[in-house]
Amino acid sequence: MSTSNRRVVVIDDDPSIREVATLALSMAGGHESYSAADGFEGVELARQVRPDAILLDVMMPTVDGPTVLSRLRQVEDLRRTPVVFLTAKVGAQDISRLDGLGAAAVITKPFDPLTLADQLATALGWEE
Amino acid sequence: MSSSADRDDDGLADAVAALATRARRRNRARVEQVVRLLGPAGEAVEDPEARDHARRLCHAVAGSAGTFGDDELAESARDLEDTLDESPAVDEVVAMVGRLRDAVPGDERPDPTILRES
Repeated sequence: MSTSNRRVVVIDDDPSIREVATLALSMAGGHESYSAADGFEGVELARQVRPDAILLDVMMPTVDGPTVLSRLRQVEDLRRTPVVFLTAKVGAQDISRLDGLGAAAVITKPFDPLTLADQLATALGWEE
Repeated sequence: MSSSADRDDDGLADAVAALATRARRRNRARVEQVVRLLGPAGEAVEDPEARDHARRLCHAVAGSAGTFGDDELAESARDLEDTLDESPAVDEVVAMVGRLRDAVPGDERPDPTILRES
């Protein structure tokens, strides 16, 4: 299966992270990438786009990532969409807690923009 | 998995470098805001609201700076974020804020729009 031409939504309050992640997913992964600056906008965007995966920041000011995940799971079309948390908190306890919330994977920030698409593909089994 | 043969890594690296300039301006503005929030002599370290706001800014700097290759700034920001999570001594925070400021790379002008983001 090819990794290209998937739709990925990035939800992160940091404009620099949104810019670099969407760019990396498009240029290195060949994906259609979309972004939202907060959880409310992100859930609405995901409803419209029906992505193949969602990259979701954990710590955001208005609604945090775990809350956004639970809201996504209440939308019928998004119930099974894989959600990958993006987090700058890298403690083993933090990662274990996020896994326990039903995330498909956790990618830590900082990440390497040149390999982000590969990291996502590996995490979700999007391998050829 | 996509292979390096069918994609433009050089083009991506150039595009990331262009984004890095903006990211550094944002991070410089965030660090300046941390200094303002906590006070030059750490006057507000015991104010929970100021400390939490500063901690969130450090969190943002830690994630962004490392992604754009500014590892020293990322590490300083993460150290201060972790320290602000606890009940830190004022002298310790002032020293860490100093290290954070020193780790900001280059001389990019701060991006004032960051004040609306946080």
